[in-house]
This record gives sequence, C-alpha cells and structure tokens, in this order.
Amino acid sequence: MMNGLDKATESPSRTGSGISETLSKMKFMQNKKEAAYREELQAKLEKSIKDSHWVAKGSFDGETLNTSSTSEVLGFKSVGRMSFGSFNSNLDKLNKEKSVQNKQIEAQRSKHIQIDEKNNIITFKDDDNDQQIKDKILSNNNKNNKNNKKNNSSNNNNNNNTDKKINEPNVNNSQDKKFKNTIEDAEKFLNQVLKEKGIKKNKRKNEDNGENLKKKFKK
Amino acid sequence: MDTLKDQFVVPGDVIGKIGDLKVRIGPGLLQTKDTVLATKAGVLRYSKFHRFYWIENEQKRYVPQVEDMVIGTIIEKHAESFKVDIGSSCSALLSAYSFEGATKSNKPLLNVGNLIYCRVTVANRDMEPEVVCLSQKQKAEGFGQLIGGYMLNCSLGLSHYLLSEDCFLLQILGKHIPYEIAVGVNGRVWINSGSNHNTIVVSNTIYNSQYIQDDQIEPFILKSLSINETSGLVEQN
Repeated sequence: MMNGLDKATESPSRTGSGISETLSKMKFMQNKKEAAYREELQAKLEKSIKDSHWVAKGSFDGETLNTSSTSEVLGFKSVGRMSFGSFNSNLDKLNKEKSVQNKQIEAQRSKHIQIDEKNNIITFKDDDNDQQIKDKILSNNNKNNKNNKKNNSSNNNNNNNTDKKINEPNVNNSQDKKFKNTIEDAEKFLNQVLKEKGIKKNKRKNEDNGENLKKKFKK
Repeated sequence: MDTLKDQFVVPGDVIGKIGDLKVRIGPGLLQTKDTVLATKAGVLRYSKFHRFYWIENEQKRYVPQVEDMVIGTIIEKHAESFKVDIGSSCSALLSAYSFEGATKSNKPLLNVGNLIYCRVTVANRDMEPEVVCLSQKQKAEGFGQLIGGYMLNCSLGLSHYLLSEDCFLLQILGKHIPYEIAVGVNGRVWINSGSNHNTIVVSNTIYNSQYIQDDQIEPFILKSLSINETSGLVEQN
C-alpha cells in the first residue's frame, strides 16, 4: 500500500510541469524554433564571409597597366608567309593586299597624329587607337566583298534572260502567247521594283557614307 | 620609364613607376604595386605610337600569346579536334572546324606529323592554348597545312627579325633562289623551293645569318650555290 501511494503522488506532479512532448512537436510550436535556427545560420554565414575578406598590410589599391602581346599590338608587316622569285603566286597576292592595307592604316595614322620630332613627343588628335583604325578598314573591306557578291547575282539574272529568249520560237499557240504576255508584264514589274530598290539602297549607302564623313570631320 | 630604353635589362631591374595609365606592357615585364619590373633578360624596347614596352630576347621556349602566327606539328588526332605541338609547355588544341570551308561532312585530312601554319586565339595562364587556321576575316590567307619543304628551329629573336619589314636577308635570297617561306613567332621556319639543294642553301643561310656580317651574306649564298649538286665539291675552272 505504501508503494501505491508513492506512485499516485508522482503522476500529478508530472502533469503539472511544463509543456508535453506531443504538444511541442506540433507545427505552430515549430515556427519559432525554425526562425531562431535560421537566424543563427545567417549569423554564422556572415561571419565566415567577413573572415574570408582579408586585405594584406600595405596592399596596392591603384590601377594596373594593361598587358598584351607584341603580335597583338605591333603586328607584322607581312602575312607571315612569303614567296620570292614568283615561286607561289597565291602568296604574292596576299602580300600585296596586306601591303595595301598597311598603307591605308598609315595614311589614317598621319591624320590622327602630330609629331614633334625635336621633342620626340606624339600627340593624338583623337582618342582612337590604332586597333580601332584597323577595325574600320577591315569592316570597309568586308563591305566591298558584299558588293562583289551582289554583282555575281546580277550576272545570274542575265543568264536566265538569255535562256528564256532561246525558248521563245518554239511556242506557237494563242493561249501560250497570252501566258507570254503575262510573264513579260511580270518581268517588267519586277525590273521596275528592283531598280527602285537599287536606287534606294544606293541612296542609303551614300547617306551612311556622308554621316561617317561628317562624324570624322566633327571629331 | 625612358631611362632604360634600348638598354639591356636583367630580371629584377626596376624599369620605372607608373606615370601614364595609357601605357601598355608586354612580355617580359611585370607590375608590382606601382612599379614595373623586368622578368626576362634582354633589351627593353618601346613603341612610341603604341605606347608599348616589351623586352626583346633570344630565348627558345615559346610562351603563347594571342594573335601570334605559329607553326605547329600535329601530335594527336581526335574526332573533331587535333593536338598541336607549338613549342610551348602545353600542346595546343586545334578544332577541325577552324578551317576555311570546314563542315561536319567536309573536314581537313590531316595526320600525325603534318605541319600547320596557324594563329593563336586563346592563350590564358594554366590553360591549353587554342589555335585556329583562319585569319581575323575568317579566311585562309596562308594559314593551313604546309606541304613538302623543310622546317628548321631557331630562336624567337631570329623569327621576329625575319618577320620584320626591314629584313633584307630574305630579299637577297629571293634574288638568287625562287623559294617560299613561312615564319612562325614560336621560332620555327618552314622553307620550300624547287630542289633540295636550294632548300638546304636557304636554310643554312638563314641559320648562319646570326653570326655573319651583313655584307658577307651574299658571298656566302653564291659560294653555297656554286657547290656542284652531284659531286659535292667546288667547281674548279
């Protein structure tokens, strides 16, 4: 009987003490814990970031010079492959083109530069670098190549016209004649449209060139 | 920066302090804080127009840099790329599509051991450099496989000299011998001519031009040419 009494006294004290485990496991009780844990993790992360950002004593905060290779800055006058005594005609053409480009680049350099030979001082009129000048010349050459392609396409059109002329005498029926007329009208219309487009394109090109020239002179 | 111009410098020499941020430094120079140091032994050069300093030397180990024109040897062949030896610490990577007109169905036929004239496009530290057989305009223009001929190795300084504008050595050779030459910045020179005898004369002249006076080069060429091809002896009149 003594033992039974002891047990009875213990049970109410347990019920009277804090929150039970089952209650603390429920969601609404977990939110606060999660928030606190999240804050702790963030604090640790910020600490580690601060620790990783260290600066040595006497460090240099100034700017650094640009480094580049000699081939990129100076370049070479020749293509790198040369032929002498007309051994390889293809290389001769390449070197001629290269020399023409070099002359153009030097011509534009002279515009942008003032040289005082006495003081050995070079002053640049514009902020353009040598590389930008090269890029402009290369882009112009690409445009010239495009023009050549267009000329080729026009030649193809001429060939088509000649083929049609050869086929004409074989046709004799009246219905075919009507079709001929419609085809000829369509061709005329297309020619007119192409001419108009050509004129517009030329105008645009001229305008663009004018704008470029104006920009250059303004600079 | 102007005091040591066109003078011999040694690694560790202080070239000067940074006064003009538009100045550029090239190979052989290193910036530590606000001073510029030399890291290679050689002659300090300066380009007035480009505002560019670099050190000119006669080393043989090639360090790849962007836009260099180099001669390489294919050492491995993979499905869509090649490994190329250009004389640097790492072999270079050459894609099979970096040729003019190359497509999946039309790839260049190259084998191990072929010589290639190519251009460096990617050259970062601690990475393999990448080379390309195309010019800046995406055309061949001399780049590609070098067929036949003979390749000789020389120092980087000599290759730079051969590529310079005022190299009269090649012009003098061109007067007497019709030949074709491809000079790589990595110290490799490829020569092709009509006969083996002429190729040997050209290569010997280029190699020995480092040690011969300028006015003695032409007699050297004539003497080499006068040797009979069959007997190997000097003709006696």
